[in-house]
Amino acid sequence: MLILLMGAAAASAACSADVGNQATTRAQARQVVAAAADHVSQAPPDNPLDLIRGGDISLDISETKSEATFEYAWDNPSQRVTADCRGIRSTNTTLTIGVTLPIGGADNLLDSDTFDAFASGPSLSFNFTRFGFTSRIRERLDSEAFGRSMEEAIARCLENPNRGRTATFEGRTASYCEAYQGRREPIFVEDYLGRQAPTSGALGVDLSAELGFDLFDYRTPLTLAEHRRTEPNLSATASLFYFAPGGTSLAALTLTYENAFEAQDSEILCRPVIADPNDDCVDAPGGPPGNVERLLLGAEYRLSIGTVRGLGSFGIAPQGSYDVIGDHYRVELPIYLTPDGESSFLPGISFSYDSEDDDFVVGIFLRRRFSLGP
Amino acid sequence: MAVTLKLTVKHEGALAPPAIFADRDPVIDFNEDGEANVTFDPGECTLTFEIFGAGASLSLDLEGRPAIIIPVGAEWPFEVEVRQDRSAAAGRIYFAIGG
Repeated sequence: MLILLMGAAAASAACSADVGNQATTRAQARQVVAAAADHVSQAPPDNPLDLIRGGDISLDISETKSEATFEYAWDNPSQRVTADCRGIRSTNTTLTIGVTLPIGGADNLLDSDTFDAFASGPSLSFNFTRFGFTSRIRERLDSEAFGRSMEEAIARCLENPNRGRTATFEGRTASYCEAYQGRREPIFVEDYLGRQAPTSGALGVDLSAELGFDLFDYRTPLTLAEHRRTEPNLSATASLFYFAPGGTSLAALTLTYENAFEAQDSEILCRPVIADPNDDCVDAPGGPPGNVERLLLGAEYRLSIGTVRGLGSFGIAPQGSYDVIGDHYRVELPIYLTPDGESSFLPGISFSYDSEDDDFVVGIFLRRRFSLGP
Repeated sequence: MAVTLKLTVKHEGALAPPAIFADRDPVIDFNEDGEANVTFDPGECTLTFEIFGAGASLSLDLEGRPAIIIPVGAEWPFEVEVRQDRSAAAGRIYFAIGG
């Protein structure tokens, strides 16, 4: 560890020299690059910089299912200084593996006979995520463009220190505004101009897959003979996320493959001669489950539009998917409002169209949160 | 004479470790407790940060807790949270280091 820290210190010193002296020679630059390349910080176990690591057991018990999930997650956060010593490359890779098993019925969780009461069998899941960004935030804040924003924000602040672009403040005076003279602070710019911090762009990749088994009960019409089938279901998804610079939008492309079985609709089935309807009729699917295969191409764009003083912030998330195998598509445009302050009321309106049903739907929702998380 | 201080960084919900710059220098040499030694020249100094992840939080604390100049009214540990309708947050703290 001591050797590692000494090496790190040497690299930092090399970077400091490079940043301070723009007339670095080509040979010096090579040394700096080599030192920086060697200087990859990888978090050791139990590092508080770790995002997720370790095992987890969870139980999900309800009227329709009762299962236990065992998950193990591993992550590898890493940072290095960029070759020009002016930025930081920060990445994180996460791998999660999970197994879900039915654990019994709603009445007696330890009774294996009650396993049959549920439609879900065991399943295995896998998820791989990699996210990375290169931060040059120091240079962005020191840029001429951000300097002009600061001057504009200070001028706006001096006009009325307690009235920001999107919020109202209390007790601020001209001296508050003057304290920011010659300095660069993005929250101040956002307060008085409503402009976001010039944050970096970032990319994320997510791969996930799940293989499970579902149990299906059905009856043979007329004889009402009972049948049970166990069928596999498989889904695999690959997603690519792009977080645009400025931190107010996110674009995502998704490819999903699904191969699953779906039960037939339940119907009233009766024997040819009905003596007692309770004994001679049942409400059940009249045939085995059918196989459904989908290949979905999806795209989504999320944009934080802005804040209206006294009301809240607005966001939109136009999205669409196309089923290559079924040859139908679905598009949706939700518009979100996030009220100022803490509120469980998160209203919005959604417009959607599904070509399979040829349905155009306008819906109002009350508790859907707009988020620029992946 | 340059002053070396211990910087403690904690974060939760971030998509990757946050980027921290002490004055002009990138800081990545954190130990297992999220601490790093950073060197400042006396006078007005800065810590610049960038963190990714809607809803993520970041806490920065500096040994000796020198007087914060900007943001006005801020205190150590300096804490920031990424809004849900943002993918990232960035900021800069100005503080005074004695000689």
